[in-house]
Amino acid sequence: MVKQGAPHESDAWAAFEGEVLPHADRLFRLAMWFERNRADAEDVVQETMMQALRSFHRYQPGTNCRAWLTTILQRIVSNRRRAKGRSIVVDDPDDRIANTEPFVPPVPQDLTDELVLRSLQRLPTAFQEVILLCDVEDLSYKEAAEALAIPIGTVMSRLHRGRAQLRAELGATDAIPAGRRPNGEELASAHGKVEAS
Amino acid sequence: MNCRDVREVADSFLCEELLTETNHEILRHLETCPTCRTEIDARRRLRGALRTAFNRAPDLQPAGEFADRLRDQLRQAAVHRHRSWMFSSRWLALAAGVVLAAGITTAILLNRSSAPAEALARDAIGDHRNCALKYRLVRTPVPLEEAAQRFDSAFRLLLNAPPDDISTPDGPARVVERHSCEYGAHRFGHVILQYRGRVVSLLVTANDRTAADAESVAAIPRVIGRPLDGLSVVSVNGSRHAVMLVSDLEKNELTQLAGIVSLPLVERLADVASDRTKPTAWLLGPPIQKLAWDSDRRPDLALLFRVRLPQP
Repeated sequence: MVKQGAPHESDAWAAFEGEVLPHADRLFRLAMWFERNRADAEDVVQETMMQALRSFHRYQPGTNCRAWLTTILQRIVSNRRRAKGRSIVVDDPDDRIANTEPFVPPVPQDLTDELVLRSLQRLPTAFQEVILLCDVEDLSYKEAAEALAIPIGTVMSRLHRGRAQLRAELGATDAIPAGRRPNGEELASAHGKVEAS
Repeated sequence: MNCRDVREVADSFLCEELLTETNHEILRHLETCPTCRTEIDARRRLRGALRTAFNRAPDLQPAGEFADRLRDQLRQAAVHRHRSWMFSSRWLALAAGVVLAAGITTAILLNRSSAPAEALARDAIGDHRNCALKYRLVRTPVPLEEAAQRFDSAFRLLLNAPPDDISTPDGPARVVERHSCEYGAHRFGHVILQYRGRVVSLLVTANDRTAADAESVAAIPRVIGRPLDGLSVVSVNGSRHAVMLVSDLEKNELTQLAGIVSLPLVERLADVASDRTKPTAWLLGPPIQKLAWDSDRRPDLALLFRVRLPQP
């Protein structure tokens, strides 16, 4: 029986372990994508988890734990960018390409992991963030807006432009002659073909 | 719903952000329109491909031992936190009585200025978020020297205070930027610090407390306003300026940092203020005490005491 008012250590840890720790791998992938360095990514995930542990009493069971953790992680990544002097907000892609939405070619039939990730990497970071949060992490517009500290309208606009630009990049990359990039067999053997969903 | 309508809401359709009725309209359209069906399928296929590629990319996977190491670190931290809580709770009852008495007294003193403090905290958080974190201020920050000439000469002090590297028991704090900026109703001297992997804003602004208020509240770090999106403000009020720290650090961590960074700065700001308000007897010649003694016998010098120079 847990004493009223005193959090029992094992209960609190069990709740944290069951609710939060399963998201560590997801968080690491996001951190690794943005930090591009394994040691930095581990630091980011560790700091995210420590903050989550300190604030776990504020987490409401039943709400989206992944969105809550992603918000913490994004804040840490943003602070680190700021500290390293590589803020992405100054050069707002919404302003830069407001009237330059690319022609949207059809999605290539032969999608490989490497092709998709390489095309994603060519997008402005602000687009990558929204696409990863909405399309990969499956956050709602509202959750993505909170995680990135931007309005919902900006999430929608960046998602629309980001997806369009991703298709343009896929088309452009797909059009590169085979000699300039790994052929289909090499890519398939390295990462496997993406199954159509 | 026609093809154009479907394309316009296709993104929200894929994210399941539409109302049920709108979803049904789209599905009805897709049943009869192969072109839109192909387009939606293509978008869905790309979304799935992206998710699959990201989740299984070998370069993005954590090392095998990382999960175990992380779990052990968190477990230790959890135990430490629990023990700290248990220890502190034993003293809580004892401390409660003392704190209650002190709190009532302080609350009475502070209550008079709680509304301005709330507004100041809101502006401080807004400045931290929009200047230090996001670079989204309406007006561009200006160098401290320029701000000292145009707005408040005390900002000049921030050119080298606090020092670039500050040592604290919990690790170093490092200054990454100094300038002056404006948010809401306040002009700030703004020093941005990097501390324990977080961004911390040190904000100095003129306070509008009366002299009586200044004497009634001791210069101690205290939390002002309500936390907003995890950001808190710890302020130290001097005689003419408030020195605030804003960050997403825990309040006790921020208060501890304020004791190291803000308190010395408040003292130096007070020195600057007192230097500025001292009667400028040195302009007129001998020290004022000497003049006072002399004035008993030199009535012609007594006039000097009645000359009060305008404050700069």
